[in-house]
Amino acid sequence: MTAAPLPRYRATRWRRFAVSIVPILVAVGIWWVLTLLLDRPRVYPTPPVVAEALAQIASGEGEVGSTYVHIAATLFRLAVAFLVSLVVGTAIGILAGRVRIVFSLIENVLWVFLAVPSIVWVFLFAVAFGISNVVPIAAMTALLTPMVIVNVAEGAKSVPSDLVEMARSYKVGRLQRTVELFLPYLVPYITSSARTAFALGIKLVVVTEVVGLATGIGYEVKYWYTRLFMGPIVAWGIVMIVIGLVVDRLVFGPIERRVSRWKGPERGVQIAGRIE
Amino acid sequence: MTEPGHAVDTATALPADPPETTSAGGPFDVELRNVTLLFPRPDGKGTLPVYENFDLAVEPGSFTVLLGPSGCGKSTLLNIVDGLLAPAQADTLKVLGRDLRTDPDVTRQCAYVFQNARLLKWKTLRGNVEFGLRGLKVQPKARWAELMDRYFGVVGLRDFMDYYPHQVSGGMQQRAAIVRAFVNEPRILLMDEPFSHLDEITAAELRRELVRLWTQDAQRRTVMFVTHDISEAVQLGQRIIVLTPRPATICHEEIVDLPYPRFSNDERVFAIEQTLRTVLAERAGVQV
Repeated sequence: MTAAPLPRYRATRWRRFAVSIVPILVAVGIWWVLTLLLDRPRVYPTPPVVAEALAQIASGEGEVGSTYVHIAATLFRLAVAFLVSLVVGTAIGILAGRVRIVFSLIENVLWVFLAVPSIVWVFLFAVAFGISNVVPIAAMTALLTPMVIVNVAEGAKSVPSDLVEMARSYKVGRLQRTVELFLPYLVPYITSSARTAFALGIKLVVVTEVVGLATGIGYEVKYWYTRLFMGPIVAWGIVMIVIGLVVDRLVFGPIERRVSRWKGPERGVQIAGRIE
Repeated sequence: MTEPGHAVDTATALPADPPETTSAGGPFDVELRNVTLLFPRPDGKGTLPVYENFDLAVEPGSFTVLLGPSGCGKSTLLNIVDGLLAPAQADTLKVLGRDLRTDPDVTRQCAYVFQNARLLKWKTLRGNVEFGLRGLKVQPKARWAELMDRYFGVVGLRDFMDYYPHQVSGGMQQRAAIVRAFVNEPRILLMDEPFSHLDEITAAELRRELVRLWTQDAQRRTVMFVTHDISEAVQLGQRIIVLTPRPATICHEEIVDLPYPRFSNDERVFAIEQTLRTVLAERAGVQV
């Protein structure tokens, strides 16, 4: 007899995983060969050097204090900026998407905020607030909020007018309209901008920490750069990749699947309850 | 009225002798006099009159059908009654005897069934009906469960209250939309071609249900029903008002004094359908 469907499905899934890992193995191979040829592991770290640095980070003991404290400091800043951007951006985004004059008012301001490089914000805020946690958080919020606003406003503009008319006809008040009509409609837009904001944030947070602060992954990177040790820098990059990947898969993936449960199955497969 | 298809061939829709007072709100549930409504032209230059000096009065408890070619502004009329559109000018603009312009809250007594179901897909059928109840605020929360049970039951959806719209058929979605309106027990029901998107079998079934829902109440609700379907108009309406293309005017009025249910193989029904066909062809310039 032929193979049962379930094992076959598993096999394709494994094959897909195996295929997806090939480019990573190739990249590590090229990296290894090149760094071996260059033969200066301090500046051009080989994979074993980086692995050693990673082990050092994992042990928690670092030359500039506990690595876990630095990781926690960075994640704290990222989380605060992310949440503030998401809440403020969603609120302004809905307003901008539904009220034309609000959109016209903030449109140009948004582009200014989106165009200013993160490091410019860092220096501006460093002068304004001094060396403190406020600087990286404010800089990231200034960068992420406009992005959320643009995404959510796009979604708010696309709310079907027949649903809005229905709500008007049933004399639905502003609060109910926002909570029961706009927000649920915008959930896919909000989750996707949350995902993008987080991905952008995890890249930016290290940059914003380089100036002045004595904690955080950005501080670690700067420390190893001044000592011209590249191994730990690459290792910290890998730590950020892993954190980003884990949060994306374990937090945003399930949320996205959960919030779209009312969308129904794709590709025309219907739940048993459908009756003509 | 001895003749079943008695035609009131008059330019105005107002009965010559309005009845004294049939409800607390006055002689009419809906009273529009000298209404002018303008739409901006698509190119932004000037306006397009949809209604000019338009008069209409609807008696309490009546089933009025507005029949006319598509695009003549039948739905617009319902939107005016529901307060969704404000006419440029009107001498009288009354719903339940109260002026819409000074007393817009009176439209909470109107409930609308649209051409498409317009359900929120993230809410169950029950959630969608509650959305309307919470909006109109006419029924006290204590009555919601009882009302929903009753009206979901009437349309045969009691077992499907907790399904999401995508899990049920288009006919069931439209039934839920009808429940969303009826559950408020509105004084005035506004229905805008509610069955036009459905297959004929489902549509016929829902028409029968609508008549049943409407006739079962001791004090009947006022229904304003828009359609471009002649046989639907004759099956449902007590009074059929034929509108011309823009600017819309009433070109014919037909009183249908036949018992429900009406069937199109009934020769009296057929005769009225023929009359309406002729009127639409001659007065509204529509070949049906």
